[in-house]
Amino acid sequence: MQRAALEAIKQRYAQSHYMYNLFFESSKTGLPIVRPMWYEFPQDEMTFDLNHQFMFGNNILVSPKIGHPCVENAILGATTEVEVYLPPTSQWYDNYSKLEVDTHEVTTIMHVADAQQGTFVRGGAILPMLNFDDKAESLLHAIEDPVRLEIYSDTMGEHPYASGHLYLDDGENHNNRHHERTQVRYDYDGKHIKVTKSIGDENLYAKAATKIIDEVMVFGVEKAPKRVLNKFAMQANDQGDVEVHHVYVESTKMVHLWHLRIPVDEGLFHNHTIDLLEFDF
Amino acid sequence: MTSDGDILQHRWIHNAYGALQQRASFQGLLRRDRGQQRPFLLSRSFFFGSQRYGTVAAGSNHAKFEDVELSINMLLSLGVSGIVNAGHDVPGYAGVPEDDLFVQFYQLG
Repeated sequence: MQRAALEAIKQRYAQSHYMYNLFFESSKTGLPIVRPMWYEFPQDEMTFDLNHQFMFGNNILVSPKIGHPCVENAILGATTEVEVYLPPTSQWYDNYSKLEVDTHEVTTIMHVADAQQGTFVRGGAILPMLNFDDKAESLLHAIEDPVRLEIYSDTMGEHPYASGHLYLDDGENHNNRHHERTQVRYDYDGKHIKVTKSIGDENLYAKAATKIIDEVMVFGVEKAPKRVLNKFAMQANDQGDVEVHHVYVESTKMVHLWHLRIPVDEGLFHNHTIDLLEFDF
Repeated sequence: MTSDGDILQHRWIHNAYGALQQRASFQGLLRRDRGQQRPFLLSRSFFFGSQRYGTVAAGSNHAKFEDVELSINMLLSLGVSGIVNAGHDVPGYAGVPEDDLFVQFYQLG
């Protein structure tokens, strides 16, 4: 019981950057953090009557377990039934198995394990996850820890696609009001991962230069890339091809990169895009 | 009666009182540390404009499955009403949560 609650708390900590970016957007526009389904899918009449499941930001769908676990599953153990409607206009990935989940025109029943939650990530999302040190005593101690980019490909169109924002500021003082802050957008097009500063040039956050992306996971990649190039290292060190060690996991169609040292914002200009990583197939 | 001697009816200002209380607390916290840190406020009374000053705690929920369901509805309604920073007591304010509820409330949180 304690283990499951602890896992849930860690999950929330890992999503700190995603949440903080939502807060930033909300402070400008008033957009809600947790949203009814119809808010994200106003064209889909099926969503109008859904009171149980909801969207956490625009990229995470939650259909929470409420009630006693009832079904024993050979693999998952005790599971709880949840009703979930995954709007078929998007692709959806299970947040735990990272497998793409089939969508239906109707609400379906799913079985969620004790240590998990009915959480699904929308295809086309890039989630900046806090790769926090487990020994940190509090979130504040871990907030400068590296970021893992989790890229959930939308493969419904002509090219794979995903995008997501990361916002940084001090979190405690008011210097964000004096432009000590930054926001970047990561884009994935099936072959490249790029970064663009999505906030004006007057905004500069010194610690964004030492905040690094150390790990990247791309889900929904159909075949293993022959090689992966670190374009950022090539530009920064002027040393030509810098090949990155990568692993391809066939079951989740995942390309996994780690031991990267790519700063979030080392002096980017507004709307200026730079290549970070390139996949050769 | 106001300081100017005007008579106000209770029902005119009953709801605004919560939000004004938050504003006063917010300004007080700013003044206390000379604007060094962002104030953090958690209030159970709120009204239009409260979103400027802090977070809303939705109130005395019970450690029951029905209240978990209800908490979702409340937070979604608050969210589309402009009160985006809102939350519930996990795993319930009143009552003793059973094990399954305890875990599920944390997972929802």
